[in-house]
Amino acid sequence: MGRVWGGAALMVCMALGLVATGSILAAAAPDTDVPYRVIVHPANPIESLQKDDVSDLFLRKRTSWEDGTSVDPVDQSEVAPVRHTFSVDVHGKPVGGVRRYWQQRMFTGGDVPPQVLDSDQAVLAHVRANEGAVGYVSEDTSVDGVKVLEVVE
Amino acid sequence: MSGSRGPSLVALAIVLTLGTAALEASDSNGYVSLKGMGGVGISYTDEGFDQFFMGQAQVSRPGVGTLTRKSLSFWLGYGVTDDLTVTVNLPYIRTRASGTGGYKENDFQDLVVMGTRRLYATGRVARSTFVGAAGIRTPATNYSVDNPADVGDGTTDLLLRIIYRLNYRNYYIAQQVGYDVRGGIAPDSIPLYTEAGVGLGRVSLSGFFSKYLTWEGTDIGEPFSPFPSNREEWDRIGGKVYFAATDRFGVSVAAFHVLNGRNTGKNTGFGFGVFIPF
Repeated sequence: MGRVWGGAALMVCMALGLVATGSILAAAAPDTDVPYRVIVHPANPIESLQKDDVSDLFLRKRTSWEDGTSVDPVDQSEVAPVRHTFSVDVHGKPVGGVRRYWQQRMFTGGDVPPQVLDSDQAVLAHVRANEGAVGYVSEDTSVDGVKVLEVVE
Repeated sequence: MSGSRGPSLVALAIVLTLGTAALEASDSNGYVSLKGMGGVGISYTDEGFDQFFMGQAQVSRPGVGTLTRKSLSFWLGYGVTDDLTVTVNLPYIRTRASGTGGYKENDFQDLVVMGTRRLYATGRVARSTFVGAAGIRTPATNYSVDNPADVGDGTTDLLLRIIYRLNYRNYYIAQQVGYDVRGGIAPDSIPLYTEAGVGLGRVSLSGFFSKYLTWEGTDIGEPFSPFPSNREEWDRIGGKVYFAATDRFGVSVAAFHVLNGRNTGKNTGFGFGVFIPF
C-alpha cells in the first residue's frame, strides 16, 4: 500500500502546486464595489426577480422564461469590478467560488458557463439583440433599448 | 505468454489486460477546464466476473474461478488556457483469481497523460462544441505481463480523440471517436464512447455506452496467440450519479456492465469517487 500512498502524494503535490498558482491569479480580484443593474430584452414580460432567481438564471439552474423562451445569460469578464460585486451580491460567493461551481458542472459534462463579454456595451448590445438574454451592467451605464429588472431580496 | 499455455490461462491474461481504469481515463465527454483552474479526483472501482469471451464464444466459469479487480485511480486535470486542459490519470490495481493457481497481482497500471483542446464552439442556447484530444498511455511501473492476473498490457500507446458535445438547457450528449495506436504486437483500436446526461441542481445523472473495436489480432484458442496480440472488442453500458455536496467537493457513484465482447471478460463493476475542484 506504500506505493499507493506514494502515487496519491504525487498527485496531491501536483494539485497543491496548481492550487497555489490559482491562488496567485485569484489574488488579482478587484476590491472595489461597482453597483450593477440586471437587464433583459424589452419584450421580456418580467419586471422583477428575487436574487435567488437571478442567481439560478446565471448558474443555468433555471433555463427557460415563463413563456418557454430559453434563457441566454451573458456574464462579464472575471477582472471586471462589476462582476465581483454581482457575484458576491447575487450568488453569495466570490468569482472564484462561482468558477468552482462551474468546474464541477463542466467535469460532469452537465453544462458550460455563460458566454463572457468584455464590457458593459457588449452586454447591452447582446441583450438588445436576443429576446431570451439576461445580463448585468454597471449602474452608471446608459440602458437605452433594454429593460432593467428590479432585484429584490 | 504463449499459445502453449492452457486456454483458460491465456484467457485470463486477456480479460485482465486493458483495465477499466485506464480506459475510463482515456474516454472523454469533452471536459475542458477553465483557465487556471482544475480538479483532483480519486475513484474506487470493484469489478468481477466468472464468464468471458473466448474469441466471440461466451465461456462460463473457467478453472481459475472468479476474477476480481479493485482499482484506485488518481486523476488530475488543469486548464492551461480556457481552451486547453491537461489531464493525468494513474490507477493502482489489485487483481485476484479465486480458483486454480491463486493468481494475483498488485501494482500501478498505466499512466495516462492527455491534452484536450476545444477546437470550435458555437451557439448560446443549444451549444455545440468540438474537442480534440491526444495523449499517451504507458506503464507506470514494470508490472508483470506474463501472469494470468496481469494488471495491464504493458504497452505504450498513442491515443487520439475527437469529441462532439451538444448542451441544451440541462441536458447534454457527447460522442467520442478515437483511434489508439497500440505499441508492440497489440492491434490498433477504435474506442467509441457516447455519454448523455442531465443536471438537476446539485445532482447530475449520466449514462454511457462504449464500444471498443479492433479489426485485426488473434483469437484466444488459436494455435499461436501471444499476449497481447488478441483482438479485444466489447460493448459496455454504464451510468453515474454525481452530487456536488459543496462548491469544493463532489461525490459520485457509478456502475457498468459488459454486454458483449471478443477476447474479454463479461464483467460488471461498481465504483465511487470524489472530485475536488480548485
